[in-house]
Amino acid sequence: MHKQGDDVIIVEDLTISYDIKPVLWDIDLKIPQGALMAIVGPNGAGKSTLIKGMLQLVNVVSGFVRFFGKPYHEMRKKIAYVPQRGSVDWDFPTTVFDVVLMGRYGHVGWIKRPTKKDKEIALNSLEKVGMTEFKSRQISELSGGQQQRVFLARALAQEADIYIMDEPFQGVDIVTEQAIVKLLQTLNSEGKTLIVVHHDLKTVDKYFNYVTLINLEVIASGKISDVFTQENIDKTYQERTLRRD
Amino acid sequence: MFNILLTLTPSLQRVLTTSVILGFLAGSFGVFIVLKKQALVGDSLAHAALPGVVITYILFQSKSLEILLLGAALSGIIAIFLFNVIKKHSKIKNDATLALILAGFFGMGRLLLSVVQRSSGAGSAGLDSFIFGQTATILLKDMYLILGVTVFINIIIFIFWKEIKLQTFNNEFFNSLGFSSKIVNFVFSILIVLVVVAGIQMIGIVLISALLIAPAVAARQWSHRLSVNFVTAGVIGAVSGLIGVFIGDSMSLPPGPTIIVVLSTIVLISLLFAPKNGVIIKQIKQHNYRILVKKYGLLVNLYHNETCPQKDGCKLDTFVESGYVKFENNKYSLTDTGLVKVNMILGGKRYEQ
Repeated sequence: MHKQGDDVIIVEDLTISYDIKPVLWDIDLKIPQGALMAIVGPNGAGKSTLIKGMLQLVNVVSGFVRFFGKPYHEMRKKIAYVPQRGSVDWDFPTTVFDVVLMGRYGHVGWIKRPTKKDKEIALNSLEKVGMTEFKSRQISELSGGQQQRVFLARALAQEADIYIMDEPFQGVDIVTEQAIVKLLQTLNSEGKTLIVVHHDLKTVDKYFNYVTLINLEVIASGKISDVFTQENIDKTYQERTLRRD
Repeated sequence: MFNILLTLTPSLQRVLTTSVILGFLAGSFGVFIVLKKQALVGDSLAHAALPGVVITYILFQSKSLEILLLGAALSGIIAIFLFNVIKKHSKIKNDATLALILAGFFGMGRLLLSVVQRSSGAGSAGLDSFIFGQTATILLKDMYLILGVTVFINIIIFIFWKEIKLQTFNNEFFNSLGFSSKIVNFVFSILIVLVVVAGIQMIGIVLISALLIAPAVAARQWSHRLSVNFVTAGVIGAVSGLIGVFIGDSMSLPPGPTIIVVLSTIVLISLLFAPKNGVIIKQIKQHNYRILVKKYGLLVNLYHNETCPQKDGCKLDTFVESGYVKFENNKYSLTDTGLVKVNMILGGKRYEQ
């Protein structure tokens, strides 16, 4: 097993571009076991691209990412992904339970159907986000906060060790935000590692224990107490205009 | 019903059966096309089939359906390939690309058709029926061909149901789990070509996309689960095929347009009357709600304030008579039935805790 403090994710020399314009340049990151890490930076800084690069969802120009020392495709079942809520069509004809069950598909594999046990896991996950009573509801009838909880439940159903989340607080009310934070911290206290794209600077030190400040490059990464300084924040939010013009 | 079918001529029986099978195939498969927002892809593919049909005829001098459809399929696949190349390497928007492909291929097909008709005269007669479709040419083996395509496609969909569903709903998540959306998209493209090609002989190049899209749109109004959507759309397609061919036959009208008109009617009815999303039902619900608020709005005020806001102004005594409010200790408060009413007014769409 991995001890507290071991680096469970290592990113080396990662460069990602859309066409010929780099979005991330030469990223080096070490994320220790048990980190609850915010990825922070201005719009267009490459926050989402970074996590998509980790998950091999975008084409990588150079560099590599290792999870527990191995490439992503060998470690998939240990990693859960929560995409941005806005990335799907919530008018899709399906139910809350069905969406959560999708978190099991990776374990189920091609062609096979989810088993009874998969369904139990999905139900448990729904319970953990407080959405059990909504399990038969049409997803088109959910509020933004509920949609986000459904996405989190789906990630929980993946029973992973690492959770990678893209803006889980986007467009949710304060009650849901608190509920999500509590959930993240519970997972963290169970030894899970969480990487969360976040863009509310005010709450970073309240919600997280690690932070990575990025803007095209990594400006700083580490424990909040070490790197979340005004100087680094200023650098992150000014750098871009200097660099790109 | 079955007795009626038996009294029909064999050729009409054949046409009816084919239209029902085809209606089910196109209708059910169309659910995925609509959810993938690829309505225009089906239309472009159908139009792209024309040059394939004509060129195959020129090369083989045969009007045998399976050979012509093979040509249609090939030219459909070329169109998809072209679409993907343009999508990857240029900034032209998808709808513009599809419109270009649609018009370009169809124009070329129409041109070739004119040339062929001029040079080979009567020999090529009937080729142009692909444009609007016809039933007179449907042979028993054509029926089996369409049945075969239907069974094949439905088996594929059944096997990969979970994969197609998740890939359609959330492509990136699907990939993050280690599945390949490239494989699913590739298989799906082949299936669209098959469905379109199976349908153009009867429905016609111009109208086949309606048979793909309309049942899905109608079914979405009535059901909210993918599997139910799939079957409902299939049934709507099949029923439209059946009614369309009956009407077409008895009034000597071409079947393709007749089927589409029947289908459009079903779509219209669905949009208007569907129980949850129908326009009329929504109007009625809103109207009833307005009356409810007008009549019982005071109960909500009482619920929020716990006392009556204007002692003299609010006519709570009528509610006391009807049992929604009680007056105790010089204070108005809601009874249990009153609370139920308040829940009815406030409960509508408020799912947030």
